[in-house]
Amino acid sequence: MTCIFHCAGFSATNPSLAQLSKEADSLFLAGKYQLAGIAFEELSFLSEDLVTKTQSLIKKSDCCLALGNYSKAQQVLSRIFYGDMKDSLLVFAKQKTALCAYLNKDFGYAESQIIQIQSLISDSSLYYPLLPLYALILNESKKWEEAKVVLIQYSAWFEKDFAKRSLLEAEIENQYAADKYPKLKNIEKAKRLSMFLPGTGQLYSGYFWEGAINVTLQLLGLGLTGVCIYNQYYFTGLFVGTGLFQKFYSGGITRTEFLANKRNYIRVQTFNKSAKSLIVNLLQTKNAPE
Amino acid sequence: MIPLIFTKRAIDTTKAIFGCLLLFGSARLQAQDSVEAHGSLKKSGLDFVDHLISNKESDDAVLVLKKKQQENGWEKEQQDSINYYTGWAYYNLKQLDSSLIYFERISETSPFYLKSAFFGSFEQTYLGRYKKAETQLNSLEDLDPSLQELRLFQLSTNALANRNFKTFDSLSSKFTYSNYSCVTEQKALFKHKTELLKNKRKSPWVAGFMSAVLPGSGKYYAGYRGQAISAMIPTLIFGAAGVESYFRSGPKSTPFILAASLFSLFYVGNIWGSSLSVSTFFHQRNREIHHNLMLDLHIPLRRVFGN
Repeated sequence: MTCIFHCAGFSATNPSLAQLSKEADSLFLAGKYQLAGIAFEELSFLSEDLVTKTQSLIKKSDCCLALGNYSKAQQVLSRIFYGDMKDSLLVFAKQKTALCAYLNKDFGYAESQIIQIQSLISDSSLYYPLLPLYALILNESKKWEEAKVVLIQYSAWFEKDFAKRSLLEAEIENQYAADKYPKLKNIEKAKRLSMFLPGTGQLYSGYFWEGAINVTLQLLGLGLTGVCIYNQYYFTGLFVGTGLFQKFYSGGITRTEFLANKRNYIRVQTFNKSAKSLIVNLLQTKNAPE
Repeated sequence: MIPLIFTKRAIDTTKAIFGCLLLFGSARLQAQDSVEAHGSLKKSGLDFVDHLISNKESDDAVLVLKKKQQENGWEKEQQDSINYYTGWAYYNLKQLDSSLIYFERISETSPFYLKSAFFGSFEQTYLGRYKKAETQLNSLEDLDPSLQELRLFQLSTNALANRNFKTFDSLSSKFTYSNYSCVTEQKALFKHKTELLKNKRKSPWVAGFMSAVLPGSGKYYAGYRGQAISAMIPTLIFGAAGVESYFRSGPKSTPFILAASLFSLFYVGNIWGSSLSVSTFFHQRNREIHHNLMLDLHIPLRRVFGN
């Protein structure tokens, strides 16, 4: 730690960038991520060379990722200046930015990085390795049909053997079969159901017991109204009974909306989790020794 | 009529040109400071700290500064710059009390002195140390007219934040509105004053009594107008249900005991809630006004001294 600050160029003497880079790397390997991040930042700051600047910022983002600070990692990478940069570095930097944005749950920004790569580079061999990440991003944006196309493109790119490729494609088709897409609940429909047939909105969202309890409570409110009116407690029946009913009725509609959203979230996450394991398998197949 | 319009336009144009010149002059002075400061920064290595802060990496900047300090790595003549950067990094991290400690250590000869003095007194006001803010601002000497106007604005805001309306009136009467960086905020101060005057501390006893007479009216008195109706309805409904059961079944009947118990619960809870809401509303409104005051104080400082 002491070493890095001595060599990091805070003194009037000219620091050795190579030395600084070496020490930053050693700090990273030692797990001192914040100090390593500072050292990489300084390397980026002191260097006149665009490549070194970019690489240092990428390494700094690695430090932020190691610390679990995804938003900072994304912010660090957003400072990269994409001037006259080689395609390979541009792709690497954009890919890293997309990954950090994905981890930071900023899926729109992550997708925009991949789209930029697509339009900025002419060498498609640089673009294909990014497709699994692109598919993950598309999955989160619920663009499953596009994710399927992307994964088929990816398998076609790395698997030249026709038989093996057909198997992979079948696996992808199977995962992304139209009937396997998460069937999302229509929030408005759920609310309407609760509005006209209390309890059915919750049932439609997949929460039977919640619906049953809610409808029972509403019936109790109505029952109280009836009993009171029957016993000539008109005011109590009309206001206390219907008041209770109204509270459970409107509460039921609000709760239905929440439950439908919850069900959709669970379904999307379940599907994406299974798609994620398929993507990991694809990567493992690609990287497996021949 | 036409010449009058032209005259008004001419005055407006002159004002605008004058304002631009003032801003340009101020910016030029600051740019000069910045260039001079930058030259010395580069030599000392503080330019990296400056870079960190500019890129919103203030936590890293604090770490670098402290580490170097521990190692006695800074030279004595750099002390002002180090204090400034440490103070500024803490300011960006919203740790105002720590920031103040470093701002206060900057000597009057430093190019960072004015900025840190103005921001330091803003922090004092923000933290409710009004007397200190006033003393610090009054100790500033040899200010140019635009900074004098800024100081006057800051002193007025400080007085207003301290609810010292007499001092505020006396200070605000001296506004010349010559510093275009704070004209809008100077005018807004009078609106804030009216809001503060309107937000009077009310009596919890009166609120409780009003809710006892008419459930919900205490909430209205406290300032929670919307809550008044929602507090009144259930109390009145249970009260009326109690009356109905009393006449139908008598005082010993179950319906009456149930309705009367519920009514009592809501009635007493409403009185208690109304008494408490007086203080809650007062403090909540005060916080809102204080927040707006601080925002209006902060914006001109950023305009004049930059980020």
